Amino acid sequence: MTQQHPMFPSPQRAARGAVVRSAVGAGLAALVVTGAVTVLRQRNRIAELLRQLDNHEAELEHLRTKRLPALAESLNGGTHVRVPGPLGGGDENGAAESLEALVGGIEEVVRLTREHVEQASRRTLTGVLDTVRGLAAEQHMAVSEMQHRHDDADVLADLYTIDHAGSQLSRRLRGFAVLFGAWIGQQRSATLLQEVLRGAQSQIRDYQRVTVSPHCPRSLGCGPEELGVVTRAVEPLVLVVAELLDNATRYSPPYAQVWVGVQPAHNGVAVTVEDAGVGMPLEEQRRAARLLSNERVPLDEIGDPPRVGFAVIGLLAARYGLRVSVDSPSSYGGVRAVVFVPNELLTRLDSEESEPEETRQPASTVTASGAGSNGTETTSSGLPKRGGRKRNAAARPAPAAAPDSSGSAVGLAAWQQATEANSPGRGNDDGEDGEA
Amino acid sequence: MSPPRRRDREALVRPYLITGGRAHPTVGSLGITTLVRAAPETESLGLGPEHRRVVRLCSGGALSVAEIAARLELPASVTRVIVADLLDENRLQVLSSGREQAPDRELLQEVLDGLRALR
Repeated sequence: MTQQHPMFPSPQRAARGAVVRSAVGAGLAALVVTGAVTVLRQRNRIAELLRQLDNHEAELEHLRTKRLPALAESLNGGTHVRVPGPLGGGDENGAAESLEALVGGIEEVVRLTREHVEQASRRTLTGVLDTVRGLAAEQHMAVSEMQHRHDDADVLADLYTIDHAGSQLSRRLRGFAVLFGAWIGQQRSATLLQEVLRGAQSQIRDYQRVTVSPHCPRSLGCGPEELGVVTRAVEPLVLVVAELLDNATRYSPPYAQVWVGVQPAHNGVAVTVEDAGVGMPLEEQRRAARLLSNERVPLDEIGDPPRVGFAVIGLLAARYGLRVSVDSPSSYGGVRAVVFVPNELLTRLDSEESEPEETRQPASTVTASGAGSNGTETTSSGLPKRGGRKRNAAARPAPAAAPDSSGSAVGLAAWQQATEANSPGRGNDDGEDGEA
Repeated sequence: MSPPRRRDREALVRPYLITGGRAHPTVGSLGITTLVRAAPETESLGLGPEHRRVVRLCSGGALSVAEIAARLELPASVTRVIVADLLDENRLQVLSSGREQAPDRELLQEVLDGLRALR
C-alpha cells in the first residue's frame, strides 16, 4: 500500500513510515469499532422506537376500540359503565399521559356541550310549559265558574269529569315546572293542613280510594281545625303529597284504600301516606331513593313515558326543607311514605269551627266561640297564632234572624242591629260610615 | 243572596272531592230557597269538614240552601248534595221548601227599604 520514495531511500524514513502505517491502521481500526458501536446503538434505538410505536399504536387502538366507546356510553347516562384506563406498557415519553389528557379534554367538551344543551332545553321547555299552563289555568277557572253558574245535577256530573281532569293536568304541569326549575305556580294564603291534604287528594286519578284521617296531633296545641301550613309551603306540600298519593294508588290494587294521616314528630309533624299494595320493586325503590336525594335532576332522567313523581318530590323537599322517605314498610303491607313538615312551615290558623257561633250569636257571646279550642295566642309548642284565611268573616250577616223575619220590619231591624254589632271590622263600609 | 262574584283563585279542595264524585242529591225536591235547620241534639262527629260546617251553620237557625252555598263558597248544586246527605242522616230538617207561599209585595217592599237603610 505505501510506496518507497525513489528520491529518499533512508532507513529512518522507513521506520517513520512503519509508525505512520501502524497509527493509520490503529485509527482505522478505531474507526471501524466506533462505527460498529454506533450502528449497534442505532439499531437498538430503532428497535426501541419501533417498540414504542407498537405500544403507541396499541394504546391508540385501545383508545379507539375500548376507551372511547366506554366513555361515550358513560356520558350518555350509563352511570354504571367503567371507563378503562390506558394500557401503559413501557412508556417513557409521555404518550399515554397525552392520550389521558385527550380523553379528559373530550370528557370536558362533552360535559360543557351537554350543560349548554340542557340549559337551552330547559329554557325552551319552560317557555312551552308557560303557554300550556296559562291555557290550562284558564280552562280550569272556566270550569269552576260553570259549576257555580249551572244549577243542574247532570251538568254538574259532566263538569266534575272535566274539573277532575283539569286538576290532574294542573298537577302534572306543576310537576314539570319544578323539574325545569320554573315557578311552581299560584301562591296561596296560609291553609289548613287538612285542606292541603284534601287538595292533594283532589289532584290524583283515584281520589276516591284515598282516606284522609281527620285526626291531627294534639301535641302541637291545636286541632285539625287550626293546624295550618304557611303560605310559601302550601303548593309545594300539596304537590309532594299528591305525587305520593299518585304513586300509592298506582302501586296498590285498584280496590285497595290509601290512608293519609298526620302524626306528631319532633319539631314538626309527619304526614304519612300508606297503601296496601305489594310494595315497590327493589329496582324502583333504589330509583326512588336516588331521585329523592337529588337536588337537581337531569332532563334525561325523566324517561319516556315521563315518570317524574319522585324527582319532583326530591326537588321540592330540598327546596322547601321537607324530608321525605319511602323506605319504611306500611302496616297495611304496602309502602309507607313519610313527609316530615318542620314547625317553620306550620302555623296556627283561627278556627273556622268557631265562625258560625260568632255569627249566629250576639257580639257579647263571642267568648264562647273559643270553647272548643284552648283559645290562647300561641300554641303549647310555641307556634305563632296567625290570622289565616277567614273568608268573608267581616261582612257576614247574622243568619239567625233571617227565618224570623216572617213579616215585620222588627225582625229586619233586629237583623240589621245584629249585623252591625257583629261585624266590627267591616272595612271600607264602616270607615265611610264613621267619617260621614 | 249576594250576586255571584268571581273567585280570585281556584279552590284547593275541589267540589267533586267534597261530594265523593256524586252530582245528584239523594233528595230530589231541594230548591235553592228550601230552608233547613240542624236537627236538635245532632252531632257533627264523623262528618267531612264541609258537612260539619253545614250542620254548624244550621244549628243556630234555619238557612236556605242558597245561603249555605254562599257561606261555603260552593256551587248551589254541590251544596244540594251535601244538604241532601245530611237530611238523609237526619242531621238536618227541612223547615220549609220555600215554594208554598211567595212573599207578598208589601213584605218585599219592606225588605227592600230595610236593605236601602243599611247602606
